[in-house]
Amino acid sequence: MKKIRVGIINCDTHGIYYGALMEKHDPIILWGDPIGHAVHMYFYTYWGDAKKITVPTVNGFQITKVWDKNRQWAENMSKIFYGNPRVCDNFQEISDDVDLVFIADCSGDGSTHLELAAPGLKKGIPTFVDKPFAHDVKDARKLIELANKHKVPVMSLSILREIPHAAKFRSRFTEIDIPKFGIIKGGGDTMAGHIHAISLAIHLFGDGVESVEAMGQTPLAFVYLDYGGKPNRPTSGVVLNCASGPTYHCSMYASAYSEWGAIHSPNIGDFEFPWGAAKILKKIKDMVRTGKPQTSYNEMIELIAIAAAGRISQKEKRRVDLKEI
Amino acid sequence: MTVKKKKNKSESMRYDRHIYHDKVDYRGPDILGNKKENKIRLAMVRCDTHAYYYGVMIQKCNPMILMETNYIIHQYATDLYHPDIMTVPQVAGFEIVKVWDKNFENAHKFSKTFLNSPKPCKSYEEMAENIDGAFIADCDGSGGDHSKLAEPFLKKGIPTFIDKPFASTLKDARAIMKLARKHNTPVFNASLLSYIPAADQFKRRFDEIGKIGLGVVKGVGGAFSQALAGRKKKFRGLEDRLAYLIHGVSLAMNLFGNDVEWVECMGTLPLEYLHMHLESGMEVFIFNTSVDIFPESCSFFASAYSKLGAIHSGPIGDPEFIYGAPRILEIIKKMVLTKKPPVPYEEFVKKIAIIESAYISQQKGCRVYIKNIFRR
Repeated sequence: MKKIRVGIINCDTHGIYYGALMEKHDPIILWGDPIGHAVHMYFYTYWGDAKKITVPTVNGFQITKVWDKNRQWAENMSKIFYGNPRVCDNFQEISDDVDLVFIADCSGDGSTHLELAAPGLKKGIPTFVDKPFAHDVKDARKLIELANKHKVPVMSLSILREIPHAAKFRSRFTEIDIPKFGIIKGGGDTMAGHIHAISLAIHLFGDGVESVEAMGQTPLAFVYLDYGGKPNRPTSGVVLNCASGPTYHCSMYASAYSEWGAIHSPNIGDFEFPWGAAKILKKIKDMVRTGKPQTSYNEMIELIAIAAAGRISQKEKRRVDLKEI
Repeated sequence: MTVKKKKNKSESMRYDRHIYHDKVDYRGPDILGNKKENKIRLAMVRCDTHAYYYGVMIQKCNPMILMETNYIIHQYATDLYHPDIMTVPQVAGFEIVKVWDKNFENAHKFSKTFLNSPKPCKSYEEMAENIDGAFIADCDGSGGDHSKLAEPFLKKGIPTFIDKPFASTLKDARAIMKLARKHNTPVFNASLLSYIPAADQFKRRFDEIGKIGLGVVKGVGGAFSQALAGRKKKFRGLEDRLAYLIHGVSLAMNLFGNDVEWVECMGTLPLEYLHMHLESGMEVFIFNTSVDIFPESCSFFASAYSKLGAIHSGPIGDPEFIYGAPRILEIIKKMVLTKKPPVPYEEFVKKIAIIESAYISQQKGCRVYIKNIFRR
């Protein structure tokens, strides 16, 4: 089968991260790269052989183009992939002669994503937008409108939305029946982290959040998600403890409570994340093959709406209904 | 020639009682070496479940009568297969000599449950006569009457234990503290969750993860009182939940520290999601959600997170609570014997300040510094 030609926008940690899972690369150059070094640490955990990858990879991709506003980063990334990807002068070029545009984003707030995705969508190129899909709901809607207008799929997923370790934890819910209350620990104080926490909450406890409250000394430090009494959702909601202090290799944690007791997840962190990324890549492949997004647009918007509602709640010190957003 | 003494009816009853006495002779040695005559004469105020709870640990009782007078305590205090055998830990050195309840019949029932039949008092003034210590029990009250109930004892210099919450308002808490200081009378207040060994056991595990960044307590403040809601015609909110909310705050401070600097609160139920920022930099979250549907289930759970990982406690509920009570009783004993407050008053007054701060925070949607509450 013909390989999917990929153009990657942003050669940050996530660009290299996903790239290294979809394409052959030089592990030693990856190790020596200032950004790639961290990726190598979690992908090559067989300490006796720095060239032996220990995480799942997904074949069928070919990175043909890379771009970053810091050209040096793009050139460095190209070297990791044996110099095969062409370094583009601008992000508009990325969507020419490719089958997929991949907008990577390790720690950004998503405010540039509409601009970065627009050229590709207009050209009818299936596009994956790393998390957060957008910074606000307005941009998220525009992205979807653009995709619909040009009859092209767009998709955005956090690793935490797909990570199998969370799914395994969710399968333990039968121990306590339907959770009545959930806790997510982790996320930090950036939008990138908030989306991870929200995604993990939706992954575990389901979508359909109706209102949000937030408080704390940092952005979205503590967020309460209320499902409004929907069936099969936690009646007492879910709390995201984003302001969580230091954590073990970016580990997030989840707990679920009911009248039957409590269950707690193990670490879901850097050593587990590659499995989530691989799952996302499989979905991206399916998206390109079928021409359809592999997750619902409603959910993609809901995640952004929750974060936006949280910001308003924290600022205006009131509960914010998602309908307002 | 031996003369067989005829037992009269009252002697026979005493003998019957001693059957239980013998069966339940499980008391350990009095570590202070108190002889019977040196026992602390205790006045028990309010014959609710907590009075029985603590009472059966300091005074021998008739378990079969206990089953009738307070089946909840009987359930937790006796052997599952032998309802006449008490199993709760014992603390020697006390003798309940007087009991009072606003419903005299309750005082009478309490009295008949215990072997020495403490005197049920009709007048409250009588309670403060010829005693060494006072115990103001409160199972599920808001603490709104504690100031009034403690006053006669404090004025007479009688060391007084006030069950949780210390008071329903900071104003009341301060008034009690002021009165105690004025009359040089020691006062002590405690939640079981402040002294429970299960918390110590969990704390010992903190070494596994090093310096904690986030502490979590899943409390019962919303749930337990919601269960009670069906039994009450009028459901007032914070006051009805205070007895449970204070436990969550107590457990959180016990586990993670007393140095609460400020609080924030959100949610629908009173103090439903309570965030406490500690001076140490640690963030502590208490959840008072309604996840317990079983009316008498009130298990707490705690979690601690750090750079090195996470640890979680098992359920800390009714079976675990029992072992906090003897510790509190030993402290009460020490207070009565030394006539000194066993812990700084500020320690338990601060908990009321936290509750009050959290309530204001939830109403106004703002962060509330504890020091500012104290300045009011």
